[in-house]
Order: sequence, then C-alpha cells, then structure tokens
Amino acid sequence: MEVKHYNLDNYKLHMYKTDKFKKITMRISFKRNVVKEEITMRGVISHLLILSCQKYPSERLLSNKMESLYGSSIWNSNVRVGSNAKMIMDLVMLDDIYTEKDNSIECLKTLKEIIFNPNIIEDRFDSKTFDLVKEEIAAQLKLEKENTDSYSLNRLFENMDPVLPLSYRNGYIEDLKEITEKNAYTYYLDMLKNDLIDIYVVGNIDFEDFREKICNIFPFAKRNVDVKSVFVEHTKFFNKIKEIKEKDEVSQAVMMIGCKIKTLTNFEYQYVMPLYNNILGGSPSSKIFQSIREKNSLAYHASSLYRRADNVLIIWAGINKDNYDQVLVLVKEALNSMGTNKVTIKELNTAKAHFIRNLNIINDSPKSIIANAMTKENYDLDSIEEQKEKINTVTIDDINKINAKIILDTVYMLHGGE
Amino acid sequence: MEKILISKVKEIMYHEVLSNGLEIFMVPNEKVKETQVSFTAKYGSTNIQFIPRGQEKMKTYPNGIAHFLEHKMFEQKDGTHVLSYYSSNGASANAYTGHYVTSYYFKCADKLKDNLEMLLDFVQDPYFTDENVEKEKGIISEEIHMYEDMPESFLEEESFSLTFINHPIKNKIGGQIDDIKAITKDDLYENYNTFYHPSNMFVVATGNFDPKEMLSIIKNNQEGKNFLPKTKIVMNEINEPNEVKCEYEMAEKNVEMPKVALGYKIPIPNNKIRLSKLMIYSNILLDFLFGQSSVFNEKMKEKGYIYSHVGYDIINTKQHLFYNIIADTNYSKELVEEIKNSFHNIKISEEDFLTKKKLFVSYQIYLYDSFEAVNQDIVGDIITYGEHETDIDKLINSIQLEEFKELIDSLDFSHSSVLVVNPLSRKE
Repeated sequence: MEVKHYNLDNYKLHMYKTDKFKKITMRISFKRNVVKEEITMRGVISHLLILSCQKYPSERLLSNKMESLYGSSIWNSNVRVGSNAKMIMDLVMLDDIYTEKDNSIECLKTLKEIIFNPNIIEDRFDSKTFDLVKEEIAAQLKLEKENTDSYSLNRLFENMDPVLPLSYRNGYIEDLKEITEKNAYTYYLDMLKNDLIDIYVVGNIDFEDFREKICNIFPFAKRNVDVKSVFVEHTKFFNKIKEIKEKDEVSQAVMMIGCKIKTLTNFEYQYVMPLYNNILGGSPSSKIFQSIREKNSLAYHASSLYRRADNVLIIWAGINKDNYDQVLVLVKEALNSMGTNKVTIKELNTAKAHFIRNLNIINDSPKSIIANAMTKENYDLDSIEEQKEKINTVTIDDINKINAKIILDTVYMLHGGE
Repeated sequence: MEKILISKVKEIMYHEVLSNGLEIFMVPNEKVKETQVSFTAKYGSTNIQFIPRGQEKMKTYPNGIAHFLEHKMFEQKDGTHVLSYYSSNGASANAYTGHYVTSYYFKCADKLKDNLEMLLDFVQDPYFTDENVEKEKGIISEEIHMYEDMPESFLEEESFSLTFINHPIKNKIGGQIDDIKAITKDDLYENYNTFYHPSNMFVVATGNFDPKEMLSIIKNNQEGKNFLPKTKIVMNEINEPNEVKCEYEMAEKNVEMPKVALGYKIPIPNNKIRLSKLMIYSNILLDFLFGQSSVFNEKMKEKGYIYSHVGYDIINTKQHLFYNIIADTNYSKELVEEIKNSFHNIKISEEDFLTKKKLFVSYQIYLYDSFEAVNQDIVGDIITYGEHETDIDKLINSIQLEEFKELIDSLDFSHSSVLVVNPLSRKE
C-alpha cells in the first residue's frame, strides 16, 4: 500500500492507495475542542446535512440519488475523543470499474452539495427538515437509556468526575430547546470555517488525480486553528472508592468499575497500558474473564476497556445483583495481582501476540486503515514497524509498575432488585 | 477440487466433499493478512424434536439445547478453554447459534495449521460432564437475562412467538431459564451425536491462505479420525398452519419509547421461483415500500408517526416467509394501518425496479470486500438454500420486473400479528 499526506492550508489530506478493495472510502473529519454546550448542536447539524441539501431537498430525493450512484452511501457520526469533538462524514462508493465512468466524481459532488449547500432559506435551515431532525435527535437521546451498558457507562463517568469531558453525553434533550434554525446555521458556518479538517481516502486511486478532484470539488477555506491535546488529565484522586447503586426495571445488573489513570509517558500509553488491559480483561484468557465467568460462573460478559484519551480503565460485567460483593472482590483481586508480580510470562506473551496481530491486520479494511490514521493524528505514535519492535521490550516489571498509576475510583451498578 | 469462478467480482471459490461427507468451501484472498475459517453444523434452535441417533422413538428436548451445546464445546477434557488457546496464538475465536445453524470460527494472521486443527478437533471432541454442564447454567442464565434487557431482542422473539403455532422458531434461541435447568449431559451427547456428523457439517475458509494447503490439512485431520457411518436424520414433521397464533398483543417493558412489530406470515407460493430469488425479491419489495428512499418513509415522518425509517427482517421457515416490520412509534395503531395499506395495490415503476436491482448488484460487490462477510454469507446460503450462488451475472440477469410483479401478486398477506410494546405504566 502506498501512502501520501498533504498538509494544505485548508485541510490535511491522507491518501492510501491499494487495490485490495472494490470500493473507495472517504472520510472527512471536523475537529475542535469539545465544549459541553455545543455537543447537541453538532449532532443536530450533522444530521441536518445528511438528510437533505439544496439540490436534493428531502431525505427521499437524496436517498434516491445515492441509490442511483450504485448504492453509494454517506454516513455521519459525532464522537468525543478525550478533549476533542469530532463530526465525521463517511462516503463509501464502488470503484468506477464496477459502475460506470465518473460515478465516483458524481458521488464526490453529491457529498460536496451536502456539506457546502445545505437546505437553507436565507440565513437559516429549512424549517421542515429542521423540525424532523430535532424530533429524531430527541428520540435517539431518549432511547439511549434502553442500552443498559452504555447508559451505565455514562453514569459511571458522571460519578467519576462530573466536570471533565469524560462525563459528557452524546447530547442533551434540554439543549435541543435552545437550538433554532438560525443559530444552528450560524454554528454550521463557524464549523465550516474554523474546525480542523482531515480528509482520508482509501482505494485504488491515483494520488494526484484524486487530490485534484478533492481540491476542485471541496472549497474548504484556509484556516489556522489549534486544537488542544486530546488527553483528559485527572487531578482528583481519592482514597475512598465511591459506590453507587441505581435501580431500574432490568433483568440483569450491569456493574461498571472505573479507574482513573495518572499521567502516562508515551511508552506507557503506547505499549504498557494496552498489554495491561489485555492481561486484565481484554480477552477470554484474561484474569477478569477467567475469574468472574469461567471459574465462578458469575457473568456471561466480563471484560476491561482502556480509554486512552480519557485516561481511564473500566471493568464491566453483566451479573446477578446479589453477587455484587463477590464480583467486586474478584475485580480487586485481579487488579491487585497486576501489581504484585502475579502476571506470568505466558500472559504477557499472549498480550503481545494480540498487539502484534492487531497491527498486522490494520490494512485489511478501509475502516481500520482510516481509524489507525486518525489515531496517529491524536497521539504521538511510532510507526507500525517500530511498534512491533518496541512492544517486545515491555517487561512484567513495567506492568507491575504501571499498576501504581491506576487508581480504583468508582463502582456503579444498575440493578433491578430491592 | 472444484474451481468455480464467481462472476461479476472475479473471485474464485474452491469446493470439495470429503469421503466422510464433510463439505468444504474456500474463497481465498491473498490481498488481506488474515484468514477466517468456520466449521458449521446444520443444526440450530429449531431442532428440538427428532429421533436421536441409535434410537427409535421421537424425542423432544428442552429449548435452548443447541445454544447450550455450542457453549459446552469450548471446554476441553483437561479443563482448559479453547478460547484461551486461540488467545495465546494471537488469534480470535467465537461461535453462534441461530434457528438452523451452529457455527464455530476463528480468525488468524499466522499459525493457520495449528488454529485450523484446533477448530476441527475441539468441535469433534465433545466433553460433557454433570459438573461442567451445571457450571455452564449460571453463565447462560446471565446471557438470557442480558437479552431480556434488549428491547429489539424481545420484539423479535415475541413476534415469532405470536406468529407461529407449531414451528419451533416460536421459541427463543437460548431458551428460558427453566429450559436451561432441565438440560443434562445425556441430552447434549444425543444432540451432538445426531447432528455433528461430518456429513451434516461444512467448512468455509476465506481470507489469506493456499487452498491446496488448506484442503490438505483438513483432509489429513479428518482421515486420522473414526466416524460413525452417515445416517439420515429424522426430524419431527412440522405442520404449521397459515393462521397466526395471536393477531394482537400489547406488552409492557422497560423501554423509553413505545415500539411496534407487524409480522406477516406468508405461505411460500407454489411457483417455480427458487427460494434464494424469492428472498431477493422480498428484499427489493420491502426496501421499495419502507426503505429510506420510500414515499412511505417520507409521509410517516411528516405525519410524526416515526422519527427514523422502519426496520424489517425477512425469515424463511421453508413453509412460510415471515416479514417482520419494526418501528419506534407513539402512534402504533396509525402506523400499523399505514403499513398494511402499503401492501395493497403495490405499484413499482420500471425505473424504481432498476434502481433496486442496481442496489442489489452493488451489495454483491461490496460483500466481497470483506472476507469476514463472505464467510458469513456462504454459511447463511448453505444453511438456507443448500448452495452459494457463484454465477452472479446470471442471477442479476434473471431478476426481472415481470417475474417480480407476478410473485407479489401471488403472495398472501392475509395473516399477520401485531405486537405493541409500551413503557412500564408505573414509570409513566
């Protein structure tokens, strides 16, 4: 695979030329520092943009257009990565050899219409579409509670630190009221002008030809913006663990255990923590899975998750609420064993094998190629070859030492009992 | 080894049947790093009434037994768990059970021989004891509880239960807690011995590998084992009437918004259309009627009946097609009426049909960009149709508007069930 990066005045363009895939995948990422009060607004705008535009002023007409382009699709999402907010637009289209001449150009032009010529009347978004979008976002936010895992995770973070970006949700119903067709349009213009833009393209493309197409089709203005570090740094660490239990009408209790992580070095966050997480709860051979599920039959799901940008480690399990105390003891034992020389060479080598496998398969899909590229934009990462070498230098002693930086902070359980 | 060109996408599929009856399908792709191999039994949650191998009388087993069996296959005689083996090899492995299928698979970027032999060995070496069966009950109980808290899972399972009277598809794939408690190691062995014979199973390999080498490993592995002779599996004959069990049910669950599922039970028409084509035409129909580009979607949003386009599922039970249309809505009665009206007097223009046909073509091409998706697609096709279509060009050319219209006219939409799920009244 050949790679080329262009650092232009208006955006950064990252291109990956490969004949592995029959499609071309393009992602445009709009990034700025996350502000809690803007989260809902950004959600509304990204939805407004992909539902209609001036040229195709309804969802039906725009969908028809995409279908006619051999099922090409445009997706949107809004994510928070640490201290950064990202609005993402993905365009997926078949290579022209499977469709017809210039089908891909037509797809690019349609994406341009969506981004640069939204459905506006004078200085505001068209009311009909705007009202529909607000209804949809309100419903989506309401429905979030139906996913007990992600709801519990939100509640855990809100209790760990209600001020840091860690605790921010995907949007707030109460904020929707304040969003109007006019102020949404004002924000949209600001986003177009002042967000940091990265464009990623993966497919069997000619670099110069495609770069020229993008330059000609997408008139992003020049910008000089700064986005702060992605990392969320914790300053409050407590000796006493917070325990919160909340009741709802659920069959299975969801238990989430949150640990704050003190500032890590580059080597630690690139290499040591991923191995730590894998050994603790990142695979079926991990301590958490073996102890909670296999040996004690206390859960179907039990694992850990390392969120690098948020500097947190989470352990979670779906359990019977009556086993809360037993599960908490097992989790503490597992955490303790990570720092008291109870990690074996076999566990360390298994974790390293996973790490290397994940590096080896990055180029197997456009999605993972782009995800890896975005990760590199967020963090100061070594090259893939350097990573394969350096991961083998991590020792059991490194794992033991990092345990001192991991502070058990909050235990949250959502349960259905008395 | 048969070598078949998959037209349109210009991939190659290799096919072989071993002397023990095991069928092998391989679609190599040297451009990716990983390999995925699945080992699948034509056996799922609907196989609960049959004559066990070596016996004479029909027997009924607890619901959820296929899923329970799947769980237990991962435990070995020495007590270690297969997933740990794959973890140590830098590979990943998993399994799933459906209505008609149980599939075990792994993905790896190296040590293919070791990982493949482990797959063949652990699936062909069951080890059930009273103790390890008892231990699994706690884990599966928690899995059942997990699905109970997923509204979409409840909607789907309850829809089947409202619609089907005799067909075991009406039961949950994982069973209920009481079913799980009743399962014994003897039950598991009887199910295993009946359905896990190589002649009732198949291997699918996709991704990066050499087909000759893959075949050689599988052949050598299988030739080193003894198998009982192939016998015919005698299933209980299911006589499912066209009527639904219950035309309307209202339930309360812990949901934030009311939901509705409208399920049509359609007798499979007696025409010459192959089942696979019937499913393609069904997808075209439902996408045309209810997809994001549909007039229905636009009108329902304008009326405020839905906030996001409705979802749908198409299931085939060999006697019936089941179209299940699902939505979040505060207007279940109105929405159901609108959906029902959509099936009266269906009119699709040539232009619209060609667009949908174009979409179908695109999806076939997109599919082959993912070796994981290809693997899953082949598994699904073998289970549902007994074959995987390779002449995509021929298939595309055979999709015709006239035939589509004739089919739609022949479908009987007179039997349906409606499930409305409301938030718990005490929450409101």
